[in-house]
Amino acid sequence: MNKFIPLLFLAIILTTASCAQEETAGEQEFVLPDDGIEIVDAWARPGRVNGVSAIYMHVLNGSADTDTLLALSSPSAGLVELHETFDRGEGMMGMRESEEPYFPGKSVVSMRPGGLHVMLMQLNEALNEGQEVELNLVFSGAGEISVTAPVRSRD
Amino acid sequence: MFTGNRKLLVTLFSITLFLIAACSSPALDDYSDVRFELLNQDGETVIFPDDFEGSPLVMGFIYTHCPDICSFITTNVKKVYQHIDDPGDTRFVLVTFDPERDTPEVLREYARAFEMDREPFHFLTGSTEVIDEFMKRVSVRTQESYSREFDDGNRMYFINHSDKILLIDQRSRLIFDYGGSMTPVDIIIEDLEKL
Repeated sequence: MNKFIPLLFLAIILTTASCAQEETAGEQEFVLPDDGIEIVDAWARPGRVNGVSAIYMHVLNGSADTDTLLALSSPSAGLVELHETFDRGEGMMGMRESEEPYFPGKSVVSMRPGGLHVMLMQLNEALNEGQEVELNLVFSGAGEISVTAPVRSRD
Repeated sequence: MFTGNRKLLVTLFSITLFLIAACSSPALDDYSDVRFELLNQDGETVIFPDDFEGSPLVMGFIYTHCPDICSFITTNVKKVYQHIDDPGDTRFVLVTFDPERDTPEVLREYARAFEMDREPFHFLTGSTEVIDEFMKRVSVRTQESYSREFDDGNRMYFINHSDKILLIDQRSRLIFDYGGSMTPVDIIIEDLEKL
């Protein structure tokens, strides 16, 4: 009977490993939450008072359905929006408000420099290296989520 | 015998000259004949290129209300300085194409936020007319977009712009022109070390 115990442990480990859902975004691999939305690796660019900043993160949607970002706010900024940088061609870059705040089910949406980002405008405090900034996100499905993003100038 | 050696020397000398010419990067442009009166982050007048002559320049173009791509460009310029073994006399310059909002004070705060408020970093602005002419000369294109008026009367606008970092040599010649946010810093460092 005792000789079956190690086999039983092995079976449990294999079952657990196969149940965890992994999702790849770029070169990184993420384990999706069982349900709802989880935000990982949030960080913010430095910014000056009355200026702007950007927050980057990975949004992991573990639910089966697409979730929609309804609202953004931060105690550090007067105005917060979801923006995207886009290539206008011929070496020109532009930035605009994203018209697709959608996060598909069972997948990861990565906000990275040069792409999708949370835009902080009308900063009421300077965001310097080493500080932290709070961000509140409201999703239609997952509800309100708060994250704290460290400020750093490096990627 | 003497004639043969002489011929050989002349041939070798010609080959050497040819190799030197072939290995040197040809200048893409020459700014030595221009003069732009700009202002640095301390409000001091800076003449481009006269005040930088004798130093290689790593020059990026930004506006401080652009937190994504311009932060990327700013950080890349900083990274070149941080990662190069010996920056020597090289100066690292960021010029705004939004002089209306990017005053010397604003640039000073921006530099401080990125921990670049020190030598050898220089943040430059100027009058709207001078900046417009300067951007034309260095082939940086800009176009206002996404404008919004707030209740307090303030206006927020964004700018579509060229994504650029330039490498200018000690004689004010443009040697390389990179995608500012896209180019790996190692490539810029490699080129800078050839100057």
